[in-house]
Amino acid sequence: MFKKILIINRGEIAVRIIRACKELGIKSACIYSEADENALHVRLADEAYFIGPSIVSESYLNKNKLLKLIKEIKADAVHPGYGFFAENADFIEDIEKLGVVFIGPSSKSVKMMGSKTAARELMLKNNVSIVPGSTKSLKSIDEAKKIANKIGYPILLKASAGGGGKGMRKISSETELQSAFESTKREAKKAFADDSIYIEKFIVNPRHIEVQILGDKYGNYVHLFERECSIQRRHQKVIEEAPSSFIDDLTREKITEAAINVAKACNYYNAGTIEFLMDEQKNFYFLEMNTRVQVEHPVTELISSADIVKEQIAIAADNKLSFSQNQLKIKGHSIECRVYAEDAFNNFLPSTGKIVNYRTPLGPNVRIDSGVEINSDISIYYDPLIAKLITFGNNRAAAISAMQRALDEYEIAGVTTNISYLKAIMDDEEFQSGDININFIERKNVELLKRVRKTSNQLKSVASLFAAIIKDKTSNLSGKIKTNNLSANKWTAQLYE
Amino acid sequence: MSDYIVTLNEDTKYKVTIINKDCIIFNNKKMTYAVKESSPGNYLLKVDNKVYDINLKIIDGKYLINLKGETFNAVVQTPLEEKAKELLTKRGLSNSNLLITAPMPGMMIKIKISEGDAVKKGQSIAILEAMKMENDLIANQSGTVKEIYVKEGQSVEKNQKLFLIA
Repeated sequence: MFKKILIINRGEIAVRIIRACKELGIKSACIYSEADENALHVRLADEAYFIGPSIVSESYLNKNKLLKLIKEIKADAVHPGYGFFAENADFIEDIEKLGVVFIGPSSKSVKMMGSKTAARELMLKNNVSIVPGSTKSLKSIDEAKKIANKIGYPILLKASAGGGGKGMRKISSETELQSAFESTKREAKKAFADDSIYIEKFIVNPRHIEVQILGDKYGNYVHLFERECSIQRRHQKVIEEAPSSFIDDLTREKITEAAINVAKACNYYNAGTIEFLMDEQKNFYFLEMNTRVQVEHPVTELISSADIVKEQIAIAADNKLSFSQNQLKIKGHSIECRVYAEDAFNNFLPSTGKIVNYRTPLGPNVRIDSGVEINSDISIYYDPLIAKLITFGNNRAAAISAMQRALDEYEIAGVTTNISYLKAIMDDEEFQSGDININFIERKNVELLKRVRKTSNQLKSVASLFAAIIKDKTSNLSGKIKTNNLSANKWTAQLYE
Repeated sequence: MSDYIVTLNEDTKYKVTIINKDCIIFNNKKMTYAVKESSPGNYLLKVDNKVYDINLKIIDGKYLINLKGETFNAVVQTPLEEKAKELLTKRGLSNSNLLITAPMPGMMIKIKISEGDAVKKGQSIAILEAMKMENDLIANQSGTVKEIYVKEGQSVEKNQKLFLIA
């Protein structure tokens, strides 16, 4: 087994990997930027290295610095998490050349899958159905227009190196294509250091179903069933669950088999996820393969009892898979909500600031994967994800009740969060009945916001009471609030008799 | 006994009457209350029998209140102060200039307008990059670009002046 793993990521996933390292008795080393000096991963790791300024290109994406650090601290393995270098084949190759183990697939597999266009070509060859569109990256706006006209609008413009909804645009007309072409390329370049983009036909009202697979270096493969991630906003997943409430045993058999075939087609090892779009008739189309650990991996862990991150490390250390397919069974249902610092009433713009009060929900069937703590900063430099809140139940309804309760218990002050928006989704009848597709949020946003507004109005009353009370205390105290005076009133004396 | 007018988020007004250190009237209803500071900036407010966690920041006399993940800004005035303020703002209202400010901190990566340009309501006038996303800034009214306060490539703070359209 490894002696020291360097985690080249931040936030909740860095924390998740540190936890796995600790349980395996491996030393964990992490990196951090200026903006992250108060972050949780820095406090939990066995070793923390300050890597540079907040801007990612000078810290988390500073390849030369990272390679130098790996050598200097004598790490024998590197865990990339998700995002940043996780799916960068050139970087993985550099790590391989150093003689250090990359905890993930080989650079060859990533190259085959990392470019979404190459992956689509490979699937065509292996008889896995794909969404119609281009299989090569677009050379010019004219070529884009030609393909778009052939398959018909609406279309999606997507970054070949993309994932996680970044660098992806829905285009409804040729005029829109004209203006979005360059900016999608720019976004792709910024987010993935690669500006190639391609076109896919936009499928109406599909569900997003994905299959988690694991493969070792000896050609053994298992799947850990499917996840449904249909609740998305601007192609960014918001709520994920496992299993899907939509698919039956037969469809599950077909889609998981297809997923394992995809993995085999690129000689894949380590953890990976094959994403599919599923239409209303349960036909599914290969979307892309994510050659890394997924944000939403915890829901699979809760229904399968597998520890995906520990399994990743074991596979990288040349171990065989620690279980076989027939030992795996779906147990219960799990849901994940992504708690973001964002303002639903201000077009979901990220909200930045210091977290000044933080209390997480606890109790039965609740798990939180988070990278923040009280006094952590939500900065402009990174994704505004505060935490992943995951619940479990014997069935979907029980997992939803647990989630409603947990969201209600969550206390975060200092930034505006999407907690009441998530709650509005959990309270929605269509969501509860499983009647969802990837357009759920877009279609129901107004209704959801109305529900949030209702809660917000109740909160407004409380806030205004509070403001008046504080003002009243302050004006009696020549402009200063005195704690002892505030607690001197009948806080404990309101006795029930 | 004192009356207060609380203006929340610059749009909703509430009247609150504080009778004494235990009782309050809100929405014509008498309620008991208690408040204590549990740690610096963090308060517990008890209204009748329900307790709320509240965080408070005071900036230039304005209260920034965070409650259940939502942030409200509150201005508390006596009825007299509130009346005076209302008269003042009414006078200044004839002004149809629109000042566009940065909705969030970030980098101006593209400015699509120049001084003197005519813009239409709904038109995209600039791109502000923040958190790896490109955000279109939209003109909220039609008019002529009077002034541009920023340059491409410049970092901007939240609420920083960007453009003046009249």
